[in-house]
This record gives sequence, structure tokens and C-alpha cells, in this order.
Amino acid sequence: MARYDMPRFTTLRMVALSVCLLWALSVQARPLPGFTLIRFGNILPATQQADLTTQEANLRELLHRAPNDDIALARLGTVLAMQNKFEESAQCFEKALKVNPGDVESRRSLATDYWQLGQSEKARTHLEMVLKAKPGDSLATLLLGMVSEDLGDHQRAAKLLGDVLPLVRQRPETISALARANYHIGQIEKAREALQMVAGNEAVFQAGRLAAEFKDYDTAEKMFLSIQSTYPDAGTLNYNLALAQFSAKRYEPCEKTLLISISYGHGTPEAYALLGWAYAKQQRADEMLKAFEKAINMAPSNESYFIDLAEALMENQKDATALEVAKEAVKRFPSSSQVYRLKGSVELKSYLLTDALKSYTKATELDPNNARAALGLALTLWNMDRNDDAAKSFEEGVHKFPQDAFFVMKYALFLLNAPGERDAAANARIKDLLKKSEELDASNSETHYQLGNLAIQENKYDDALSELQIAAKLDPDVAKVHLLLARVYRRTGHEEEAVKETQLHRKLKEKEDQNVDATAAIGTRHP
Amino acid sequence: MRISLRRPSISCRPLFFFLLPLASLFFAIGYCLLPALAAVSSEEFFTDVTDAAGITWKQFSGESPDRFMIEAASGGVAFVDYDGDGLLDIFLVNGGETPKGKSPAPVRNALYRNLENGKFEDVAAKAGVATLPFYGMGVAAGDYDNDGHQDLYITGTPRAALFHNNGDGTFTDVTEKAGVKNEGRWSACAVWFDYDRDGYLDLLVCNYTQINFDNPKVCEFNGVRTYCDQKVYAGIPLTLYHNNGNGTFTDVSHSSGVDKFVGRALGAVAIDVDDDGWPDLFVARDASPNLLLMNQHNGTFVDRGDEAEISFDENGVAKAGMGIDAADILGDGHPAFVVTNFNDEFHSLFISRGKPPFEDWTTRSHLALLTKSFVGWGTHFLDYDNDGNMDLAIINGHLNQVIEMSRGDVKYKQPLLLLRNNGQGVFEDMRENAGEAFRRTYTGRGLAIGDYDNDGATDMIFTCLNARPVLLHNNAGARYSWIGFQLVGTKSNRDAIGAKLTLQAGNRKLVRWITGGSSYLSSHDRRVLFGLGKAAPEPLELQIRWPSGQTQVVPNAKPGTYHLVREPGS
Repeated sequence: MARYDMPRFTTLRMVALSVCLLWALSVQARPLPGFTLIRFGNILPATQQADLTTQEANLRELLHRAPNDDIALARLGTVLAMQNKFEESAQCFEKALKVNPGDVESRRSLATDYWQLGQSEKARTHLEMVLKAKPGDSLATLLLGMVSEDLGDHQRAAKLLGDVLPLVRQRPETISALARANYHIGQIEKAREALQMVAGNEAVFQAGRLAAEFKDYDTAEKMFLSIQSTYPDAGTLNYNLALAQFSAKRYEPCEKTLLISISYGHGTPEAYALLGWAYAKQQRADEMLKAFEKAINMAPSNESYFIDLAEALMENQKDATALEVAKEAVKRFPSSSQVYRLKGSVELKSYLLTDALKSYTKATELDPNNARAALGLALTLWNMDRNDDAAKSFEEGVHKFPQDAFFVMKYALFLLNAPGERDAAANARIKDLLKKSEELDASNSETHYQLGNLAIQENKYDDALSELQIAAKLDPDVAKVHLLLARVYRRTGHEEEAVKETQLHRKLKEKEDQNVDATAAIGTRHP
Repeated sequence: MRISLRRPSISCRPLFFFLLPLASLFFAIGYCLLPALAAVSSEEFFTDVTDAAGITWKQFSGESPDRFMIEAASGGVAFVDYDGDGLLDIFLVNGGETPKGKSPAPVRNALYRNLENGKFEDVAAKAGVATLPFYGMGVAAGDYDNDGHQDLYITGTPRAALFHNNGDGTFTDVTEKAGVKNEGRWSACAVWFDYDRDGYLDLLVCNYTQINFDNPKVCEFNGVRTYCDQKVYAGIPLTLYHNNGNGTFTDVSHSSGVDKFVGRALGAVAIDVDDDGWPDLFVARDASPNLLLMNQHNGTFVDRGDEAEISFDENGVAKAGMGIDAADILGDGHPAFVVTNFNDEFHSLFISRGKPPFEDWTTRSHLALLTKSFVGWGTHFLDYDNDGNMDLAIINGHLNQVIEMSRGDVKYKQPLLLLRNNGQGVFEDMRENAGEAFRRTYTGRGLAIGDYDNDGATDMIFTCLNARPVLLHNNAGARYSWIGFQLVGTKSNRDAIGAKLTLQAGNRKLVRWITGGSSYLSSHDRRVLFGLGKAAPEPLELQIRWPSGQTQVVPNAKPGTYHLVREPGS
């Protein structure tokens, strides 16, 4: 399925360039001959380029005669930066600062160069020195905010960017950075407020995509709807709108959006595949099949639509048909690791464990970096009671894919399910794995659920409540979360809350039980 | 070297001819004694005496290509002294035919009368309990009219039956008259217990689902038709019948509140969970949440399963509860509950401390490790070695005949488990020394315990699908001392179901209950056996809390025998 992907680095660099240029304008003491404000993202007009080339030549000649002239060095650095010659520009500013270490402007410019070059740590160091010398420097604050966000220091990024809102407001990229930082630290309302600052079709569109990236689908939907009639690429806009609606589990609106878009001639394979998923979620199997068929016929060389179809069939308990699709996919894409991985997953679900083992093994042979195939292999071995082999597979997998939160979580579940008593070391290992999974991806409710469960076993009810509440927020319709919440409330004497959670648990459990596969054979429940 | 064979000398011949008949005689005596000697080996804990006992009956499940779930679920057995001669007899419920699963011979139950010499004789036909007009499941023995004779309630589908014991070796079907037909339902366990303490046994019936032989559900495993997952079958409510004291019953399912509990109930035990003198119910349900029905003393029950944390496991799974039993395994005076479940779920062990929540000791007790690969059915706590600690027996067996196509550790036929309690609620697998029967595997279902030869050691019998049951004689218990009690209620129900017995044995206090129901589809010896360890401590004083609420002390009871204790008053 399509995922939200924000191109960040390039635009942020462009922002840095524009910031640098803004600074250049602000330096009245050292006017640059022939310099004018360059509009963001545009290539310099030839005349202005010619000016800069001439200025560069002049400054080099000057420095040839007086190599330690820090003002000339700083000016040359600026001219080079305006021509995107950031490495040379940085060298000039470094030299200038050797002569005059107290030159805050040069230091700021140097930081900007380093940031352009992707050397964010160096950029941060210099910006911090600037702010130490000149605490109210708003440009440095803005830049440091951007750098912090880049370095993953979201708390700091949010603080710094929040301090220079007038500057942030000027660019969609800085607005994005502020929103992104706030989303990262869970300040959803502040993130939304930031996104409200964008204007213009493209900026609003990108803001919507950012909101969706952080699973704020309501905001994403609002943003897309606000430009639905004006955005030039209606097909792309409607697809993203539908995707946001789908992700928010609003499958009927998603279906409507797509059908309208298709009726206006924007029937892409992607759109049909998403429509197929919308039908799948509404358990409308015939329409689902037609939609996926359309996608496949339009893009027969794209294996992902086969994969989507098979997965949608499995979700609708049509495992036999899913297996047929998987087999066909293997015929068409015999070198595809993902297709073998899909086949393995259908076979695992259908309890054809020997076949699943073969499929997953083939998938990992075709692509040793296919984490889902490696995980499928471990799960299959577990189901076959080859626990030692499964343990080895899991252990190798978490070493090979240490950033794969899902893999790490599944390993923790494998260890949790072992029937013997666990010693302190084993418990610590499981907790470590779950904590790691949580760090890598805090949006997986199962991880929070299991941490909450462990905390209950240790009688740490505050911790348990905290984790389970997160789990409930992330996935409010999972019955078992409310079961454990009820237990914690009951054990801590909060009877009223316990009763509420118990009722909610029972209601959700009944709904879950209605989705049982009517053809499931006895003994086929997976551990 | 040449070897010469010497002919016996003439002087030896008379002696030879004198000794020969003697030798023959000894040989003949030895040959006759051999089965009996072989039957009871002192080295193994339990000996399979099925053949020696003369038990030839075989269960018939009606197994068919349609794979109706009921084919895999039947198998009730009861240890019951039906003729009141002081010896436990055995009643075995047969299954039945299905549309494509026909029997070459009539499907019959068996009533094996104990002949006292280790042998049994099938008198089912004579007794009038050989045949049923429906597919049979389980049996609950109880004296519902307090006339001193054990009656039989047999569950099944699409109805049940109550057989009144006439006291002369025969039974009469009084189902219609009594009003306990449970029409249209597939019933599993039945529990005799006196929920309103009026001195008459009432009847809880656990119902599983409604089965339709015209509409088989189709499920496959690796391309082979097999039984469907339990959740495919919609659960139905429990049934509760109140004993009116005049041979009739009233269906109080609605007024008692038990008809609210819709699910797939298979096993139940009646025991006073909170020690308030009123019997409660722990109901094991199959992929439906277990129930802890607390008696409200006013004819109604409230489910406290959530508070007790026994309804779902920690992953929110309603396990496949089949069999159940309760006993004090820690020696703290509170009941613990075992519930048998499916493979990978582990058979559960819950410790009650008198108030909720219960503690889940499934892992801590080693039960998880010992039962991971097994599908458990009949189960009973028993002090097999008479050391005073309650041990555990569980019979297992899968339903899916082709499970081994995919699973390494999970087999279709599975063993009988004998788990020894170390006194702290931790169990150890004793199969290696338990006997040859424990090294075989079975499609086990019902299990009942009882001392059929009155030697003070608890014996066992369990049933198997489409096979003979297995009767096991306990050799281990005879090594230690013991004392037994048979209670007869007067104000309380005659069977004394619901009584709590506390034995002060030296500085040790042993608590036992006379429970209703328990195990899977089966009924057990209602006498209470206390194991006393190597040497019987003195003095032995028994305190009884009768179901009526009356208490009684039995001082200076002598070990090594069963004592008949009648409730004071009338």
C-alpha cells in the first residue's frame, strides 16, 4: 500500500540558502555589490549570476593581496554560497573566523554552509556559539531549530522554532519543520496550529501529507478538502485524500472519493488498488476483486497489486483464493522475494506449514534483507514446534534488522509465550526488546499492551496504566487492552472505571468473535 | 568328547513319579494366579486392570466424513455405587450414530457391577440403562430424591435423561415426569448441587451449542476434512433446574439469571468459593469466557469471572475450557481450580485466596511447561500416594486426526498425566514411574476417580474415543496411611454435596470438599479420602460443615478405614 513520504532534505537546504540570503540583505555594514534578493527555489537570473562571478573574481584578487582580510573572506564566502559552492564558502568563513573569532555573522553563515553540506553536528556547534554570543539572534534560532529537527532533537526544535514564529511563518518548509517537531513530541494541537499557517495549494497539500505521515488523518483530510477544488493535480490530491480517509478507517468516504476521482478520469492503478482495499475493509468481496483486477490489468508488471489482492483476500477469510493469487504471482514474478514472502504468509495462515517454510526460505534467499520474509520464517518454525530453530531465527533477525520495531516485538512475544518459568534475566531481556520496539515505533499498540501486561505482573500499576492507556489511544477497538485496563483499575480500587472498561471489553470482544473464519479447522490457532 | 546321557536309575523313579504330579499342581495353581499377580504389580504406581476386570465395552463416536463436532467430544464415566453394596460400580455413557456414522451393533451404555474380586459385570441391560434415544455425552450421579440410591442424569443431544434408581438394581426413565429433558440442546456436563440449601439436589446443565445433523460445517486442514474450530459453533445458555422435593424440577434458568450466560459450556464444579456456606459454580467454557457464578443466597447467581480474572487469560483469550476440578493444593484451606485447555494454551491453575482476584499459577506450578502440547479433557485432583498433598491427573487427546501433518510436538493421541504436588503447588510429571498405562497414548475424554476396591488408594478410570476405557488400580496409595469418610446428609442433601471437611491430623490441617460436578462429563466417588503420610498422626479430628450449615466434630477417628458419618438431627 502507498505510504506517506516527505521529501525533506532538499527543501530544507533551499531554506537554508534563502535564510542565508535574508541575512545577506540584513548586513548593512557590508553591502555586497550587485546583490539582490533571490526568490526561493529559483535559479539566479543570468545577469545576477554574472554579477556574482565578477564579485568572486574581484574578491579573490583582493585576498591574493591581503589573504587575512576577514571582511573580504566573509564576503567571498557569501558570494560562493550564493552560487551553491558551499564547501569553498565554508573554507572562507573558517579562515575569516580564525582572524576574527568574534564575528557572529560569519559564524552563522558558516553554520548555514555546514548544514547545506549535511554536516548538521558542525552546524549545531556553530549556531550554539552564535546564540551564546548573541542570545536573541532570531535567524540563528530559526536555523538551529531546523538543524535540531534534522538531528532528531524534536523537543529542542519545537522550542526554538516556536520562539521565532514570524520567521517560521514565512516559509512552508519551516512551518513543516515546526509541525513535524511537535508531532514527534506528541504536541498534536501545536502541530496542527503550525500547519494552519501554510497558505497556497502546494504548501497546503504538503502540509496535509505531513499530517498523514504522523497519523493525524483528520487534519490531513481537512487540509486536502480545503484545496480540493483549486489544486491543479486533482488525481493526486484525491488519491491522498482517499488514503487519509482509509487510514482513518473511514472506508465509505474513501470509496466515494476514489469513485469520483475515477469518474473524472483519474483512474490510476494506485487508485484502483486503494479502492480494492476500501471494499475489502467493508467485506464487499466481488467489488474488491474487480477493483484489484483493474489495477493489475493496468500495471501487470507491478507485483505490489498482486500482493495487495492476496492480503485483502486473507483479511476477508478467503485464504484458498489468496493462495491461488499467490501462486499466480510466483509464476509471473519468479525472482521476487516479496511475492514469495506473500505466498509464505498465505500458507502460514492456512497452516500449510511445510509449504510456508519453503516459501519463506526462498524469499530470504532471493533477498536476505527482506525483513518480513525473515520474520515469517521464524514464525513458521515456531508454529512447527521447532522452537530452537525459531529462537535462532529470531535472534539472527533482530541482529540483522535492529531498527525493525515489528520484528523486535514479535521476538519478545515468542519469548513471552514460552511455557517455562522465566528468571530475572529472561524477563529483563523481554522488557528490553519491548522497550526497544517502543523506541523504534511508539505507534504499535501491541508493544504498549505487552509492557502494560508485564507491569501488571510486577504489580507496577502506574506503569501498567500508562502503557495500556497509550495502547488504547493508539488502537481503541482492541478488546484485550480494555480487559487489562479493567484489571488495573479494579486492583487499584477504581471500581467505576473498571466497570466501564469491562463493558467496553465485552462489547469489542463480541465484535471480534463475529469475525471468526467459518471454515477454520480445529487446532489451527497460531501461537 | 562323548557326552553320555544317563538314564535315571531305577531307585529315582518312584521319587520322580511322586514329584511330577506335585509339580503339575503347583504349575496349575501358579498359572491361575498369574493374571491376578500380574494385575497388581507393587512397583508401578498404577496398573492397568481393564482386561483383568473384564471391561470389554467400547465407545462409539459415530465418526463420519461430515465431521460433526460431537463425534469428538463424548465419553462420560461415573464411579457410582448404584446397588448400595459398598462397592463402586462403573457407568459408561456411549456416544451415538450420526447420519453417515453408523454402528454395526446397537450403541449401548455399560453399567459394570463391581463383583468385589477385581472383576466387573455389565448389567446395563438388566438395569434398564443400556440404551438412550439420543446421542449420549456425560453422566452425573446423585441421589436427587434422598432415598439412599444413586440416580443418573445423562446428557447429550438433542436432549438429556434422568434415570431414577429403584433400589432393586433397576432404573426408570423419569425425564418427562421430572421435567429435566433440556430439549433441543447439546448438553455436556451436569452438576448436582443444592444451591438453595433446602436439602434437595438441584441440577445445573452445561450446554454447548445447537447441533444440526442436516447441516454439517465444512472445515479443512491441509486439504483434509476435519472438525471445525470451536468458535464456528454459536454458544447457548446454561440450564438450571430447581428440585421441588417431590420428584419434579422447575426450570429456573431465567429467574436465577443463568440463562444470561450464553457460551459453550463443557465442565463445571460446584464448591463454596468464598467460604460463606453457600455453593458457587466455576464453569469452564470452550473458547467462551469461563464463569465464576457466585451464589447470592436468594436463588440467583452473579458472574464474578472478571473480578476473579479467570474468564480470559492475560492475552485476552477465552481458552478452550473442557474439564475442571477444585481442591486445596497449598494446604491453606482455600480451593485451587484446574481447567484443561487446548494445546499451546496450557491447562490453567487458579489459586483462590478467598477473595478476588484469583492468582494464575499456570506457569509457576509448571503446569504450562507440562501441558503445552496437550489437549486436556477429564481431570481430577487426587492424593494418589496418600502423602496428604493433592496431586493431579489429566487425560488428554486431540480432535484433529491430521494435526501431525503440521505440528511437531502436538500429536493426535496423547498421554495420561500424573502430576505430583510437592505441597507448595508445584507439580512434577510422574509418568516414568506411574506405570505402563502412562507410557501409552490415547484419544482420552472423561475421567473419574474412586476407590473401587476400598483399599484406601484412589483408583481411576478414563474413556477414549472409539476404544475401550482404561481402569487403573492404584498401588502407590497403599504404602502410606489414610482415613476415609462417607457422609450421609439428613437435613442436608443425602449425598452431602457441598460439605466441607477439615481434618486435624497432628499439626497438619487438611481441607477437602464434597463437590458437585467436576472433571469432564464424569462423576466420581463421593467419599472423602485423606492421605496421612507415612505414619498416621494422632489424634485425628474431623470437623464437618454440612451443606445445611450445621457443623459437627468427629473426634479420634481411626485411620485405615472408611467411616460412615451421618448428619446429626433429622
